[in-house]
Amino acid sequence: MTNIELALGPVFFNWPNEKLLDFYARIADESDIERVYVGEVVCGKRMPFSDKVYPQIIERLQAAGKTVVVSTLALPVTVRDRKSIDALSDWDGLVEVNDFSGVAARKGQRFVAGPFMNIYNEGAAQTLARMGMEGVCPPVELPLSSVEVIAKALPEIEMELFAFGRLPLAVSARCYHARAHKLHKDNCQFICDQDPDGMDVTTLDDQNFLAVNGIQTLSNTVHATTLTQSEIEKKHIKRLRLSPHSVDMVSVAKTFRALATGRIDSAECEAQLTSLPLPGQLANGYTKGKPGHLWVAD
Amino acid sequence: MQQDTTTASRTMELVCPAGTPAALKAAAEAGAHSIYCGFRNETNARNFPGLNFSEKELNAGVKTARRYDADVLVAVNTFGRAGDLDLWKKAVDAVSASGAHAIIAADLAVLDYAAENHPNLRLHLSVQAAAATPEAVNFYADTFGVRRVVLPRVMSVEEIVKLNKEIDVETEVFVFGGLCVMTEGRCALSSYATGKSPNLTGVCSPPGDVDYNDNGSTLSARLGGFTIDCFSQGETAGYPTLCKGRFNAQGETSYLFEDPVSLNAASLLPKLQKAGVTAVKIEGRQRGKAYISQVVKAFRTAVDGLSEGRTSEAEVSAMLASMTEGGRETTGAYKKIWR
Amino acid sequence: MTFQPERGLFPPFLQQALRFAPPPPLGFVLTRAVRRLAHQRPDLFERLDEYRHAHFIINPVDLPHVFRLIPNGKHASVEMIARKNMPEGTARISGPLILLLGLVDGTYDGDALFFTRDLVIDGDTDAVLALRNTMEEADLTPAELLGFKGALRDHLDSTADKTFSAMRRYLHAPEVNA
Repeated sequence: MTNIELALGPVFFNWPNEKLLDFYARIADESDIERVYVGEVVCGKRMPFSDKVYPQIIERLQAAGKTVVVSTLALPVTVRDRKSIDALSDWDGLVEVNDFSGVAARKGQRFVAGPFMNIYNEGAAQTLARMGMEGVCPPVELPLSSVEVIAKALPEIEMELFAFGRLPLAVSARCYHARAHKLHKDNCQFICDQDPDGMDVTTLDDQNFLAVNGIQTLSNTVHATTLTQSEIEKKHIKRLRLSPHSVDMVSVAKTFRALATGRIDSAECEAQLTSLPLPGQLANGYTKGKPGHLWVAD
Repeated sequence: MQQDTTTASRTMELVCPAGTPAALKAAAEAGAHSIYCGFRNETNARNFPGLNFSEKELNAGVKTARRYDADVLVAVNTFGRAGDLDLWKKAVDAVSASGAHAIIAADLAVLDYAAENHPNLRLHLSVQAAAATPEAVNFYADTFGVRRVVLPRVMSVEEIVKLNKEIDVETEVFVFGGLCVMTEGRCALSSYATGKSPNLTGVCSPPGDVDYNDNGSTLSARLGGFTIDCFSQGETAGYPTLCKGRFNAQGETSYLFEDPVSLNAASLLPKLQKAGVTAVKIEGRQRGKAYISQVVKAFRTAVDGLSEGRTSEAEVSAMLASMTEGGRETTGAYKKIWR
Repeated sequence: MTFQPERGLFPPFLQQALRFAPPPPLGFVLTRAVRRLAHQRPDLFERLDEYRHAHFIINPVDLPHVFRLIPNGKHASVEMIARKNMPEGTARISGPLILLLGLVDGTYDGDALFFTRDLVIDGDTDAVLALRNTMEEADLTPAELLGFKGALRDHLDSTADKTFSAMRRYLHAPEVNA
């Protein structure tokens, strides 16, 4: 079995360009993450800003030996959104598609499927594999048992598991950041930049529940899959995906590297993560086929 | 481009829900052009206890509908469970055998199986597939021969106009009933709270995970242990659908995602027809016969009026008034201001 | 008299009077009715699936008795039990009698009643949902359920319909389709 790799997912949040540049510079220089997904996946309105720095970021990451994958929008709506996906049709690097527009745009060239794609079973994975899919990070709610079935049914497909971060639960045409600030989406003032890890949503009795990031709804908890090295290998999982947050992602990557190489166990991984200033409590319910907000001990 | 989509006099097809054979008959009697239903298992996105059809009931339902000159569309529109796809394949076979007009599907595995094994079975793309761009719609049309796409409830009328110009398949849109705030088929909020969701098990905010807690002065409605809404004595207690609850954010309490409203786009029918929409759909396979009968009658009056070139808006709105009484309604994303 | 009926509740004097009604025969009649239905419409009990073994406690809050329904096809049973001995069930449906009757014949949309809190559900909500959806498919009138046929059934149903609708008005029960 080859080594379990680490991947850094796309940044979901509206971070200013300086923060993006600094963030990826540290990833390039200080982390041993093998693969980095870049690009705006949540809101097309943010693209004119971040698009200015991504070429520079990609270059920096590639120079540091990382495999760079460009991610596409989860919910393309406008002509500009659609063009951003189409523009990648002749890119010879790897593309992560998050919508079927992306699959169409690749016209048979290789791609990987992100967690916004509805790949719930081996049949769907097989169909996409015939169209050029070479890797998949399944939807976050898919239980590990199903992930394992898909991975074993299609050994040629690289299976990536969403292993750390607030869970991307839903997207909508409506912008909840704008709505919460009583703004209209067309004049949103990019208010989502106020919440670098998402806007906390609590219940009427003040229980932490969700987090809002523009048109996206995330979990309030921070999901963490803390399977041991042998368990990950047994399930034919090739790579663990860490979803970027304001917390020190280099430390997070170190912890998961230690877990994936068998240097620490699940309990130690959990302890190390808990010691970080995470935006929410740890949860892992989805991996066990339970409600996603729960923490189920191994 | 479908040749008849440009003629203004064509009657829009009225697609109506049926959760039981009795409801199917009620919908047919009330004037539905087509009726959609699903099997009593996880293969359809309204998998509630006591609801839906056995294979035998579907076969009989197709015959019943035929007597009223109505078509039956069968939703096999959940995402198959990994390692257990036989249930979904069997459902596709059963739809084909029943003589139903079309199957409504979202999962690639289901679409692929249907296209491969039942090439004569008409394929409709379920709203659960959330295909909203010409590229996505054409992908499904080119790959599986999908003939109609049910559009996600996230598009404005203007966007539907543009979409219809760039695709060759029919479009169907929701005009009445429950409203998903999130993009359909791309939402795991329900499983986050309860472990069950539309994509995983064909249910959203399932009743079995709901509990009400009455402390004397207020009643809290909870889902999977999370308080979704609170009501004072005498206040109407809404069903705790997750995305229509009251939450705190930015120091304020509000219906953050959506008010507890339902969709009513009756007033937009002329625009939707002009936009080239082939069929309009009523949500509510979980609703009773009485409800279905009244809503279907109202919308049949509306689409008939439209095709005859007269407006029946006042009449239709009066017919629908009793169905939405007390409850609030919205035209949803069809008007861009909603966003 | 200043008594003002509330949301379909039987007035207290009537509730008192009903305390002396003899319990067993009604349970017996209803048991026979449900078993007869199992014979005529086996599909309904298939629809109930696992919930045919459920114990439904039907609790008309304005009567001194509750009913325990086990809709297990030909072995179905309906028992009438004094409220003070109310058993634990899989699920309990509580509400004024007139609303519970309205659920049987489809006068009321169950959804609407649950939401307005006129009906209170305890226990397994899925079981209640299965029962409600099955009733919806059954499309029963009260006389039909009790096994009356032909003209007599039609007469009884129209009488029952008028009586119930008069009672709903008298008891200030929620409007139909509320």
